[in-house]
Amino acid sequence: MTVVTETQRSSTVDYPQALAVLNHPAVVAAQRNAQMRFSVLLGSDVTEAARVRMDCALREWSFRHVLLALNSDPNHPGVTRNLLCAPGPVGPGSRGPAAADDPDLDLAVIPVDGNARLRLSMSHSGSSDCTVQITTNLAQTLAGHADTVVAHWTTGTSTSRGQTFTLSIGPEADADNANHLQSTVDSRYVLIRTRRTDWMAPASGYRVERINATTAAPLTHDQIAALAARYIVDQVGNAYPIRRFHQPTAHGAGTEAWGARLFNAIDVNTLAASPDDAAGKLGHLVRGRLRLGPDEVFVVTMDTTDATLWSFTAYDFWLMTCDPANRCVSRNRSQTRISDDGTCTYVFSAYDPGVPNWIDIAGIDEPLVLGRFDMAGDPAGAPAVTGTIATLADVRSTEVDAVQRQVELTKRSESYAMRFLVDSHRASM
Amino acid sequence: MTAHDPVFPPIQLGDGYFLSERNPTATADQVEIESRAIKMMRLPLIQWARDQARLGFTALAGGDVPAEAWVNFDQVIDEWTFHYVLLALNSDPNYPKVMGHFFGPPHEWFGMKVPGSRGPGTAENVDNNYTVIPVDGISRFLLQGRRFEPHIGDCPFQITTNLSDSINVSSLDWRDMVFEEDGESFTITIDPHPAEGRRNHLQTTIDSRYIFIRDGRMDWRQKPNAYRIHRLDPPNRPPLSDDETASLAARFVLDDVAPMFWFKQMVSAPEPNVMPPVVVSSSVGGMPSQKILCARLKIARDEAYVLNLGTGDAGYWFVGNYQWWLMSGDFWKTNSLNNLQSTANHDGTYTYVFALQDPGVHNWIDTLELEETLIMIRWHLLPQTHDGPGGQPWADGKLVKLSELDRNLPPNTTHVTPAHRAEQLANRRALFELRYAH
Repeated sequence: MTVVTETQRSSTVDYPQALAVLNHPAVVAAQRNAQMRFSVLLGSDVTEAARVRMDCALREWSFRHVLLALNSDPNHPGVTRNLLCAPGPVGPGSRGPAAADDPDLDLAVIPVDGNARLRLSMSHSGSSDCTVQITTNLAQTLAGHADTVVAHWTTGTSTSRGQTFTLSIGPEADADNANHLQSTVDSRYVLIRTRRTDWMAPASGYRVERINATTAAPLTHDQIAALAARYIVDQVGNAYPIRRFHQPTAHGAGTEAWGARLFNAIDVNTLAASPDDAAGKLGHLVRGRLRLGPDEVFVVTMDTTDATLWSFTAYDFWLMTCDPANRCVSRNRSQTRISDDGTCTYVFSAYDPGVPNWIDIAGIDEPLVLGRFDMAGDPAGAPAVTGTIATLADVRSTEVDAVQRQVELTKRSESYAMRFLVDSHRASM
Repeated sequence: MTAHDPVFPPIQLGDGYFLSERNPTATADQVEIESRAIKMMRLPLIQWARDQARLGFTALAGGDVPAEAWVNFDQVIDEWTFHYVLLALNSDPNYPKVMGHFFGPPHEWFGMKVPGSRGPGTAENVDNNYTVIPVDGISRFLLQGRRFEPHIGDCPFQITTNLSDSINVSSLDWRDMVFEEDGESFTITIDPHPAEGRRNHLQTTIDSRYIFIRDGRMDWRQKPNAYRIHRLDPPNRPPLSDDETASLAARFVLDDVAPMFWFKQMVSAPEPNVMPPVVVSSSVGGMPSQKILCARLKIARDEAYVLNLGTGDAGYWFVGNYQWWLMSGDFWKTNSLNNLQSTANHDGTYTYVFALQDPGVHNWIDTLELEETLIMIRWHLLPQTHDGPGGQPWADGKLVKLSELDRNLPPNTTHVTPAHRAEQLANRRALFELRYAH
């Protein structure tokens, strides 16, 4: 039995209000300014197809920052969920340039500062790992890069279904309480990252309460719009990874630490790997930039022996997925068929090749590829991944026919929608 | 302020907090912050952050960087790091201090060799003394100020919301400042509430981070104002420990890399040697009362860029040249000129010559041996309109061979002999050193 997401209603996020803020003159003007900034940022790098999609990307960019602005006051914290999410049943998309949205990830934020004392209650759906962090940088908040994380808590990867947790958050240290996160003077957001390895699981439930007295009344509509406008403009500089993904290789060596963040340029139709510090946990990223002819596909082969969790995702120029609810633009472990020898093979192509692990590049002329890997705590455990060009004829298979594919897509759509639902137990939190 | 708030004694130079009777920027807080920052620079964590920032800028710049921009790159990154260490040491609104000489060049005073505090994208106006004071969106503050003869030419106050101090939420124009009966002292209230009759007031927002002050020396003899900050509410947490401050500094050193590189890229976006339109600064981040032109130059050793400027009835303007990373050079060279440092053409316009070699004209902007530089021209104290700064300042120019320079200059251009140049530079150096005299 599922009910309409109570968590959405119990948070401060009011989607009709968010849409009203999105159309506020200050926000509309800020989006124009951001568009100018992105144009400067990217110069002549923007492909014609990408230029066509720019308005949509900017609209999502604006909405993302409207959502953040709506829930930016630690005096009146709520839980803003489904950030960096494609357009869906709860509202417009909230991604934008350089979002690199992960369809497996449920991102939620709660505003905090160096003064607020909060209590966060969580009920988990199981088979998912969850990290809760305090971050200090608005842009990196959603990426959770380690150098902006000042406090970190995790359930680990073996959370049982229905497990509940209560965390305290505040400026004091509490060494005796493993469920305490200490804020710093520059803290901005509590970031909750829940990895949805099983898309059929209902969303986790979250509730936040402020414990100490508030210091100000809630922001007015105009104040929220002004704040959103500042975010929309000010954060463009932080979207610089989008440019680097399309630029020649950086001068000098030793850019590994930044490579994961910047998606440093890669030769076309090859893969490059680097450590991933997202969520403050050990992992790896594999990145690629494809340019396929009409009859060409890109074949990725992976040895899954040392990997516990992983996914591959195709993106457009703006590092945004295309319709992840209804197209196989990504696959995680549970959506992948693994061979008996422990390897798996993904085929990135515009047309269905009939293989089990097809990743739909969704008509994108130059798709970008991200592979994400959790290496189960093994610092030396880089995934064994190779990528190569092939022809569609080379890989075409009858393993998955059109009917079976349609069944798979229908299941994908239904399971994707589960992230917007909370079961009755969690709804009562 | 309320009736319960304390009354603070007037500012008095040489009182123990102000360490000098002639330099209002020489304060106990300033010396303490700089001294701690110098020590903090040696910490492994800060050096790690410094190295990460270096990697970041290197990666962001890609393969577009001219060789000359790498020559002093390590010094540029050292300044960047020191800048954010200073900022971290004065970032807690519970215990705010007044920190001046932000965006400054390396200097010595009070027995300290103080590193520079600029970096990629900082684009400082070398006429200014920049001051930052931490605030937040919930607390009440009182800023005491006092000016001294010779008075500063301009001094806008802003509340900013980001580390780069480029997003403003509240401004106070120097021309609107209401002084006390002595004609020199002033106070500014800072809190989340509207002014409601308070004469000098800055309203904070939930995301406010700093009071950002630009004491603008039109004439380098002018003295920056003296400031003291008072928090009117009790602090809500204990002071940061050294470890907490170092961690904060490391975050700052890394956090601003991408935004500041974006800003540098924005300035360098136009085609080289083409002057784009003048815009209001707030469209790109900065002073809302200012108009600005950003451009890129590419000049060979045997060339010069001749720039003609229209004042737009501005009370002050500044023509600054920056290295490829958008950081200023030696303040004591003619790497910049403002209106009082420049000579006018007969028709009221101004002509500047950008060149690697001294072209023998008074208005030489020395590119400091660099062929690829960035320029920013700032016009302040423009006629005020309902929609912001008015006036119609402009600039255009062209690239010429040095051998053909004279025929491309207006008649009656002021030329200088080597002796005059030496005198000009000696005078500039002497005035520059007033900043750290005490």
